[in-house]
Amino acid sequence: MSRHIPDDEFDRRLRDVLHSRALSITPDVDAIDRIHAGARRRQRRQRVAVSGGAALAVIAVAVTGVTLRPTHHNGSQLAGGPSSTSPSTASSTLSKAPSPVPSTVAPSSNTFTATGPAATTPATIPAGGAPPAGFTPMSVTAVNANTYWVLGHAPCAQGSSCVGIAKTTDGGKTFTEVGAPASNLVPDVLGNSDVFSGDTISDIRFVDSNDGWAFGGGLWQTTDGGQHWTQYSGPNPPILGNPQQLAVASGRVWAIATDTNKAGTPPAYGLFTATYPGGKWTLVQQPLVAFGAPEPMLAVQGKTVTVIGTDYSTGKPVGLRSTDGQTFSTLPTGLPCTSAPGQPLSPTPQGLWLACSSSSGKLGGVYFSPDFGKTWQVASSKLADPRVAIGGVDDKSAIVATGGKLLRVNVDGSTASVSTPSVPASTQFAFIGFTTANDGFAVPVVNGTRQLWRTTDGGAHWSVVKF
Amino acid sequence: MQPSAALLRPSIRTNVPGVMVDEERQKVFDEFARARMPELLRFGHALTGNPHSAADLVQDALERTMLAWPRVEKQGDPEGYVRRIMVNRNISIWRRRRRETLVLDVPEDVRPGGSSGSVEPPIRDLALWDRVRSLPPRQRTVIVLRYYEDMSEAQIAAVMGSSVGTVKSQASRALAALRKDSATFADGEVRR
Repeated sequence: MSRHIPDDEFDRRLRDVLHSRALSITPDVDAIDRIHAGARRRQRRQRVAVSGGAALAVIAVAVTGVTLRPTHHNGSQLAGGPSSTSPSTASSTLSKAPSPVPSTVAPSSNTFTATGPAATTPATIPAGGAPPAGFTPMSVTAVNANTYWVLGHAPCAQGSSCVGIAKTTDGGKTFTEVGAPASNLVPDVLGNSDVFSGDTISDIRFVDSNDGWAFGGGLWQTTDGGQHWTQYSGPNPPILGNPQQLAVASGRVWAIATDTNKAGTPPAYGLFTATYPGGKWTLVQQPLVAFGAPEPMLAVQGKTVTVIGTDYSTGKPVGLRSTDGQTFSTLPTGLPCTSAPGQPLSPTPQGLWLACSSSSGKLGGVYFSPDFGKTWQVASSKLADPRVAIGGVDDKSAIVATGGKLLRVNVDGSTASVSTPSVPASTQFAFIGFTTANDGFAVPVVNGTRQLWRTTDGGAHWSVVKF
Repeated sequence: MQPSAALLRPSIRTNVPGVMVDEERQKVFDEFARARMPELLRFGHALTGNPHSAADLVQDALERTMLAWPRVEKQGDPEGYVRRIMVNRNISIWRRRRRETLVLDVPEDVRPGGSSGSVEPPIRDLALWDRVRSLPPRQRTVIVLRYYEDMSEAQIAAVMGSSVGTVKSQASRALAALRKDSATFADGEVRR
């Protein structure tokens, strides 16, 4: 008959066992050399893997570690857009806007393939000079009216395309290349799906002159204004999956990334957060909902975090909100979009703007929430095109891309035209976002090529940024 | 704009695209690895239950740490970083080797102080050690972090990337398994 061992005694025995000197192991004399050699082997393997380019990326779609994100089918607006930053609150969202239309493309489909600049090896544009001829913007992020960074690509001497980041401190009069992560650029082809992996990026985000992130499958961070970038690797298995949206506010980084705890098809998404620089990423507990495809949208303003997405189990729209960055609850009154979400969400200091298709799927609707998702009011439900991109200016109006042009939509339902460069009616907009109530950016796709537009009067007038 | 001074210094390129590690940082890493390796090996031994696996685990973790050294060094807790890699890699490796690992009987030559020629004294409570080694890796990891690292449940949850509730349940199961028939080895009657 066994006798009971008191807890204290058992704990002591357990500690004694684990602290026994018998567990000591004498390091080999050549241990350091073997670590160096092993690290070099890893380095070579990774270089080979990275230089495999898009061909490997496409093949890898059928394997693990690569995420297909359906975006902009039907040519709707895109992801990879710039950020909208409010200097007064140091809060913004890098608004990657998925399709405003319920996805008809299975996220796991391998029908879509990477094209464009992602097909290159991860060469970068050297730092120190002006952007080379042919520099094409992909994503923009600003910390004030004069200082912003543009992630883009340009033809290389090798005949391929190089990733680069151009920075301006004079409002766009001059640009200088800073360092860029040696990564593949996700093409973000409108009407296509993006192929993500741990070595791809599609967006850039700076919260101040030093701290910035490049992300889109992979994640890089800089603490010196983009001169040097460090790739997030994390533990293995990773805590953070492939990040696809990222926002920074109140000393925390927030990211929507694939949830590595829910491997499978379609992918599950989670909300992750970390302090910066160098904080450990953790999955925000979401006892109320798990997000499925299409990827949920993230908007952060101060300590208020709003996530709108699709319930992984039911496929219905669902939203979460926290006003303290810690405790989340479902949005109490549901969402104005009756179709599955995936629509652009744009924060302003006064509230959230949301664009989505109507229940018929034929008309676009614009909504404003003065309480960051708790309640919504209709600003417009009569837009001609459901493929809507939106950038909130303030609590009075937003700039909306619909039907190939920009339009001001006021919260009272009225609309007004704005002055833009002349573009074809087929032009689609990848992104619209505002840094302040006056300063904003738009990324139109004109004849298949992206441009960067800028406004300094709250969206009334827009002009092309020249590199 | 002129290239920064950092880019002009002699450097080696790590596997991390865009990250340069200069020679001074390399030396700092080597010193760190050399100084902490005995303790890391010991920790690895507790995690894996096997000195050979411990050596592999430490090597794997330090290789990864070396390649991420600029970032790791900047974070200010390199040993914590290595240990987190070890914890998670050990669980990951175990997943791939499940069939090989799920055995109760352990080869004699890998036991501490056994016939492997170790100069260290054998574990006095060898039966309990064997039972620890036979735990599923996640449960064993929780036990090691709790009783070897003296971590709280919240700290363990953070390192393992799981919830506190999961840690509690893993610890509960592990302790129940360890206590099972504990009296039979409490007095050393069944030491193998």
